[in-house]
Amino acid sequence: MTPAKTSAKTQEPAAPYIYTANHAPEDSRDSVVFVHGAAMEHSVWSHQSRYFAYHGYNALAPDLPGHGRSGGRPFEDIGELADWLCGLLAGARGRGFHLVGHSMGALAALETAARFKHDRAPLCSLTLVGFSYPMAVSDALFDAARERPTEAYAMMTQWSHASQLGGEPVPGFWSPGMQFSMMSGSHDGALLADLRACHAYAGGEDAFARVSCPVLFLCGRRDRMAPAKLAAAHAAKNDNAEIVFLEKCGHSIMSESPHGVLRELKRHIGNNAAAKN
Amino acid sequence: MPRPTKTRFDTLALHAGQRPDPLTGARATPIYQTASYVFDDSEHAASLFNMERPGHAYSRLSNPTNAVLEERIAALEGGVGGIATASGQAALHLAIATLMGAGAHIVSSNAIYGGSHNILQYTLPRFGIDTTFVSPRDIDAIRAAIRPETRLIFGEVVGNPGGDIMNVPLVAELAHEHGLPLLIDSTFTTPYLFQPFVHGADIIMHSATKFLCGHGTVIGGLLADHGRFDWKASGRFDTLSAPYDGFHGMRFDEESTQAAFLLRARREGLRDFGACMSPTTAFHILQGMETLSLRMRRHVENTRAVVEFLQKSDAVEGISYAELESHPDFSLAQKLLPRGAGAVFCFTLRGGREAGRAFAEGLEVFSHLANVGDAKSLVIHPASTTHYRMSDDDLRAAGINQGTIRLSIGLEDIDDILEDLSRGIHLSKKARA
Ligand SMILES: Cc1ncc(COP(=O)(O)O)c(C=O)c1O
Repeated sequence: MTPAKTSAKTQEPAAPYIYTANHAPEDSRDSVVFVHGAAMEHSVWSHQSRYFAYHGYNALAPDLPGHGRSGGRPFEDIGELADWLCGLLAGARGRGFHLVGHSMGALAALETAARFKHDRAPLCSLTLVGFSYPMAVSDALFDAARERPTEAYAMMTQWSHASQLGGEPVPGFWSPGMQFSMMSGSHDGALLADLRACHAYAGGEDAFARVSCPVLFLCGRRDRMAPAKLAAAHAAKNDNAEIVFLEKCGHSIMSESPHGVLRELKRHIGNNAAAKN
Repeated sequence: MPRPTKTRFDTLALHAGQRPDPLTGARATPIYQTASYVFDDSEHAASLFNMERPGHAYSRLSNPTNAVLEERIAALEGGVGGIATASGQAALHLAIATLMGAGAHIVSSNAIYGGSHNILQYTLPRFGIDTTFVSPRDIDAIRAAIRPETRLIFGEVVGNPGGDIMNVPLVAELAHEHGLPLLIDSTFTTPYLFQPFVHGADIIMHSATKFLCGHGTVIGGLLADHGRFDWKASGRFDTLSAPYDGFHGMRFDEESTQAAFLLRARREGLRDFGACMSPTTAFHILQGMETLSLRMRRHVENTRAVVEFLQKSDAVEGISYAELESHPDFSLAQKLLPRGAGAVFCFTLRGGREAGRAFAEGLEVFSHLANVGDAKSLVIHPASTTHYRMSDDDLRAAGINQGTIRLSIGLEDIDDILEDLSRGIHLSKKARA
């Protein structure tokens, strides 16, 4: 899709960049929308999104405003981000939607699911990867993001990997290096805005109460950024929710366990496809 | 400098990229000596080949032993990933072939390995890729050599044969001003002595045949990518930004913003040119890398002692080692290479070709051969071997003369190394007389 340009006057993001694995979305397919986390972009989903595009789904992995190839400024508020995602869904093709979010993107996906108004196509499933609520950000990380962003990228990369030694099943790539490089390439100020949005988000309880589609919590057992026990507490309260732990994984779960994440997404999304509803 | 891992260099050199084998518990990296991998089913096969999920399909594309090595070099260099190739030459070729095609142009340092010079000067022009060679010391010459069709700037940190040091930060800045990536051949320095990415380079190549393997047992090459160069913004790299018919219209920089170069190098370059590394070779290089910092420290320590020894000899006309104050790049080397300027250097014996030949042939601890970066000390006298058929003028143009000797200092007891050199010097004096 088209790369975005920012309109300098309004600071309103123009058309965002959306990765679709070279497939024009079709009305007859379910659409899986992948929402990236803080200071990330669409390719953090590359081990999952491409698969869906080649297996009967529309895959849509946007670069959120102020991230990756999308212009505009990053939202500092999960509600605003959710409204923006609702707008994206309203304009997107598909007979049903599946929201998949990671970290900040998981908060945004949750809030989007709560605000989503079903007119054309239903919201069929929600998957929260590396999710915690609340998502409190430490002063140390805020300070670093403000004053020394490269240090903040390094801290987050270190905390995000269960093992500092690599050995992930993606031949030829070093996952900490990939994450650090992705964050280092993020737009100025994006991380700080994203962390503010995460920290300030207080709508989790309300949002869960309003979500009616099945929810999958996908947690790295050794996630230090978004401790699995926080997700587990919400999963336990929600009849419509299921929680799956991936062992030996931290917060960078899509690259630490690409097969595990894909397997669980296929199952959850497949079980809840619009055709089955 | 903030780093993506808390783990330190020596630990990464031993562990990065490998966990004990989950099936057998094997602690060492197993050699997966297999050409191919059984698919779960056809759908699994199709998704592997189409890059829908990571995994191994065929060892020309990837192999689990090689993958450990690729991840390890990426971790040690601070990059996003790596690619193992059949040789250092194959690594250079793969990098170039991934970035450009006919009509493109390269600006290269003129103080590079002879084999690199060969491919750039003689072979690639036949495929429509031209190179302008400039002194790595002359930033204005580098700038002046850049043309609209330039796609790459290339050089070595410590050049051959004069030990010229490339001002990597400065050249990187220049390259980036022109929307170009900087490729550094880091063979002589290894990530222990110099980390090109920290200084702004975009891609690194190694002849892993040398210090990384460290024991003179295999031929192999490596590429590592920093993952920061913005191929799309540069607008010069259609191979990475435009749809590629050879892979279902994939735009590599869209598929992975950070790893576009490595994806295309693997998915096209390894697939089509096929210069992959053997997994047994990868094992040997991994084995060597486990002790990289121990060895490099000793290589440098012994080299410093040898340089000091040669400085005192009346048979020696000059020494090109950047740790000497007399070297034009002394202060740059102090800044960029605080751990040492490597273990390969040239010096010139008085007495010309005969003295040089007698010296090289008379050594016993040093092996007379065409290689560097072995645990064993090595010597070559270019004027009577690799450069034998060259005229004096051509030799001078290559930065050497009849009495030039190249040493690669090994890990032997320094007293034995020095005794051997004394013997050689004695013989060189006799040949002169
Ligand atoms: C600096 C340098 N680069 C590249 C190469 C080529 O590597 P290989 O011999 O592994 O092909 C060499 C080999 O001598 C070298 O010394």
